[in-house]
Order: sequence, then C-alpha cells, then structure tokens
Amino acid sequence: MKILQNSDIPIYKQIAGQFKEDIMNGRLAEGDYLPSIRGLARDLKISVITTMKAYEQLTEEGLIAPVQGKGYIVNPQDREMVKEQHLRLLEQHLQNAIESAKLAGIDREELVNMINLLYDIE
Amino acid sequence: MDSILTAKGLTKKYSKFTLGGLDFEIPRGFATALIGANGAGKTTLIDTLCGVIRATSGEVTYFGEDTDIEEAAIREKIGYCASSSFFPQGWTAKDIAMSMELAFDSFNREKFRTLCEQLDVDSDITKKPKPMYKQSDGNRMRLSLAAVFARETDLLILDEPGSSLDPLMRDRLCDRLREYLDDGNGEKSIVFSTHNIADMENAADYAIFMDKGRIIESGFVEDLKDKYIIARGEAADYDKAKHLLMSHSKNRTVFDGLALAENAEELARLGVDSEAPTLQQLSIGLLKYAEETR
Amino acid sequence: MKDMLRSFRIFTGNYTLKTVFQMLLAFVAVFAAITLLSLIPVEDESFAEGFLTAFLPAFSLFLPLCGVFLLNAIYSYNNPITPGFKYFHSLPDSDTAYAQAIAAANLFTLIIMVLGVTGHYIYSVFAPFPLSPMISAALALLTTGITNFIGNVKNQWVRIFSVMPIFCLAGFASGFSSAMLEDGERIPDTVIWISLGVAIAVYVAGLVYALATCKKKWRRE
Repeated sequence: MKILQNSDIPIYKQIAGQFKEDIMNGRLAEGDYLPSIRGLARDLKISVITTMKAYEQLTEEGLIAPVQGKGYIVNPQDREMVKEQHLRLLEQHLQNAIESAKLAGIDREELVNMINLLYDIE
Repeated sequence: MDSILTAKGLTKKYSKFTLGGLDFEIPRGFATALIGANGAGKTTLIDTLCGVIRATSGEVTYFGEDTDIEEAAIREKIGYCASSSFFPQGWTAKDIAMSMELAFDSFNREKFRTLCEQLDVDSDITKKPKPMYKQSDGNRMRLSLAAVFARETDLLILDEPGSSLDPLMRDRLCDRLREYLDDGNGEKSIVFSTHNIADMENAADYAIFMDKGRIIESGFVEDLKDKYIIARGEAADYDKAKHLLMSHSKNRTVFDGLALAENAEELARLGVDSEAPTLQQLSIGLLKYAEETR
Repeated sequence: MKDMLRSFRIFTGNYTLKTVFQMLLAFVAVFAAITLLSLIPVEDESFAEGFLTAFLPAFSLFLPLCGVFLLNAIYSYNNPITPGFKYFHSLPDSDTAYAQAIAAANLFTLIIMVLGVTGHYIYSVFAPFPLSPMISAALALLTTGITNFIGNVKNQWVRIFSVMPIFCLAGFASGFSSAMLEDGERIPDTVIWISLGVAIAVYVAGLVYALATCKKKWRRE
C-alpha cells in the first residue's frame, strides 16, 4: 500500500481505494482480516482516525465488516458483481492496449497473436 | 464517546488569567492534540490534569472511574512530561533513572537506556553524563520523553513535546506515539499540546482548540475536516461572500477564509471555490475567528 | 527509615548527596591544610595563633551552611520557579515523599552537625580554638531550625533576611569570643548552655512545624 501525503485525494480515500482494489482482484480474499487500524496508522505514518475513516467507508460499502475484538474482516463478495468489476477493468486495459497498438502501427492480427503468446506464457 | 478522561466545569483561577470552566472529553485509544496560541492555557490545563497544580473548581474523571488525581494508582498510569525545566538543573540521566525507579513501580531502567540510545542522548551509563543545565532544550525534551516511555502507562499527557525537537526527532516522536497507540490496542491514549500543529498533523486524531483559557472547538479531526471548508475567491466577490466567512484574509487580488461546509454550495453559487482544510489551516482559521469574536 | 531514605533519594538522585559529600571533603581538606600551616614553626609564634583565631571561627560557619544547603535543596522544589517542580509534583504520593524527604534531610543535617561539632571539639582540645564547639553547634541548630520555618516561603527576600541575622550572630559570637580569648577569658558556661538550649528549642519547633505543614504546603499551587 502506498499513500501520497500531498495528493488532492484525501488519505482515507486513497486507503479505501487500495483495499477495494485488493478485494476486487482477490489479493484480499473473503474471510481475510485487514491490518489493525492502529497498526496500519503506525506503518503508514498517518493518524489513527484517518485509517478508521477508510475502514468505515469500506464497511458502509459492504466490502468489510467489523468483528468484535478482532478487527475488520473481508465480506463474501457478490460473484456477479466482482466479475462485472473485473470485466470493466479488462475492457479498460484492452482499450489501452489497442490504443498503444494503433500508435505503434501494429494491426489487429498481430495484436491478437501477441495476446495469445502472452496468455500461453502465463 | 468512550472517553479516558472527562472534565466538568474545570476551572483554574489566577489573578490575571482564568482557565475554564471547561467541559471536555478525551477519547480512549486516540491521540488528542491541544491546539492554541501561546498563553491560551494549554500548560495550565495539562498541569491541572496531572496534579501538578490544583483546580479552583470542577471535576475530572480519569479512566472512567476515579476523580482524585492524588490517588497514586492514577498517577502510575499517567505518563506526564512538561515542556521545559521538568527535571532539576543539576541532574543527569543517572539521577533521573535513580529517582524514577524509586518513584514509579513500572519504570524500566533497561528500556530507559535503550530509549536514550534511540533518541541519541546521554543515558544512565554514559561516562560523565551532562547535567540538565548544560544540555539544549531539545536534548532535555528527549530525556524527558525517554523517561516517560520507559514506564508502563495508559495515558500520555505531554506538554509541547515536539516544539523543541528538530524535524527528524519530531518524526521519530510521531512514530513512537503511533507505536504507543498500536501497542495499546485501543486502550492507551495520548494528549499532547502544541502551538504549531503542522509539525504533528499526522499524529492527531482528536483536536481541542483553545483560546484565552476557553475551548473554542473540539472533535475528531476527520469530522472537523468535514465540518469546515477553506473558501477561496477573487477579491471582487469578497463582499458578497463575507457573511458566510468565519475568518478571512484578503488582498487586492484574492481572499480566503474559513467557512462551514454546509455553506459550500451557496459559496459556489457566488463563484467562490472551496477545499477541505488541513488541520493547520483549520487551526489558523478557528484561532483567528476566536480572536476576532472574543 | 527505609521510606525516608527512598523519598530522599527520589528528590535528590545522586546529585545532592554527592554535592554535600564534596562540600564536606572540601571542608576537611581546608581544615587539614590550615592545621598543617599552623604547625610550621615560625619565629613569631603569634602569627600561627593569630591566623587560627581569625580564620577558623569564620570557617566553622561553614557547618550550618551544609545543613541549610541540604534542606533548601528539598524545600526549593516546592517553588514553581525551580526546575524539577513539575516532575516532583507529578509523582505518586508526592506529598508524603516530600514530607519524608524533609525528615531525611533533617536527619542528615543533624549527622553532619554531630560530625562537625565532634571534629570541632577534638580540634579545640589540641589547639586554642577561639569559638566554643557548643556555640558553633547552637548556631548550626538555629540556622537549620529557621530554615525549617521558612522552607516553603516563596519570597526570596524573606528567606535571605531570616537567615542573615544568624550569620551576623555567628560573626558577633566569634569576634566576641576571640576578643575574650585574647584577654585570657572564655564565654561563661551558663551562657553557652543557655544558647544551646534556645537553639535546640528553635530547632525542634522548626522541625515540628515543617513536618506538620509541609504536606498541605506541597499542594498549595
């Protein structure tokens, strides 16, 4: 996780955003615990209340839930919604790839070949 | 609010200055900043809370149950240090360790030694340690902090801990404060005073703003940042927006000022932009507002 | 006793006892140096004698000073302008510790005095010492007693002017007895015992007053 102290985006939104991303792409799975509020504040060198606000936002959005005495746990995510999110992300990345390809003068066939090649390596 | 300390009508009267009557709470598990100009009464308040001086009237409840600061058990749980001249002039780190070991049950000499090393000051085993009067303000504060952190406490009350430290040491202090809160797991709390919150902006969760012995505003920092805005506009729009500004500064070209967030839309209609305040901007705005409406 | 010692060390660290020890050492060293000096055979014997007569009484005033220093070190911490005031006032049971530290300082002062007076007495057996050890003990007790009375007074002028008469008295006593010694006379025993009695009374009153009031005075700010 990285935080920009002088960014226009409030710090709590940055934190919430990054956890959201982690939950969407599965880096944080259902049932995982988020770092403790005070532990994260300590690591990120920010105030406790800022971290708390980020967690509150995630809780409101239903992504995580507080567990008495244990911190915050990642909620089971709606599969369809997660897939939707992934699809949107994928679309965006492909859009970027197509744009880059056009700029570099790579045609459709060549691009598809590249994707096939990379898919196999994975 | 789950509070570690509650004050009701707390008053301290001097011939030329009166603190209070103050009603406030300090939240448990957080760092609270007492923000105010020099002479606002921060030190008087801290000294009263720690039993160094006695309140003229009013009551303070500590840890949710006790009200008598003379109670030794309460003092054991409070880690206090003053902003200057905390220890006797002739004392060295050795005297401090010796005295505190006898005075407090939980003072840990090894921890003190390690902290002194971390904070880069003479410890109790330094050969020819320097007495207080030969040390800089910054070094004295570091020693006081090492002494406080070498104890097991539940509440730190620190008077201007950052003011005499250089930026690097202040950063280390903020780290240590967050570490303290983390180790406490929501049970340990901090109160510190400052006249320059910019230095410790990222260490404050709750803020109490003081002016001339009164509390003018208090709340969790994130809530206060939602409550207020900094309005910025062109000088030509100033007269129209004036009635919505709490405090302002204006020149030929532009003006800015503190306003309530609920007025943001109306300000926008007048062509005035607004942004979320930093704690520093908030304290300047609020203290200025207090000064103008005294 | 153990509590008294503990409280005393809380208030003084290593620092005060070290200072007192250094003062005593300096005292003994100068005393020894003067003694050695007076043993140097000189043609005019009255020089050594005159030297002793003039210098030693003044020097024996050092004795009450030691005690006053120790006590004032503790009392000063009840003055907000003294660095350390806030530290000591924030300690658990700080008022009890203060009272015990004062009691301990009085005890140490008495020990220093007994040592000093004994040394003084031994010395006066060997050499014509102008000031009776009993008078010097009386002066020391008087000073300590008054220090106990004014310990918690914040006004510096009051403090200075209450101790000053003692030193004037000391100067007067030593001058007076030196003059008497030159005439081959001594201060009459009854005068000595009466002054000692008065001094003891003042001292005891001072101590009782100090111990009875210091806890309350500690919490006055």
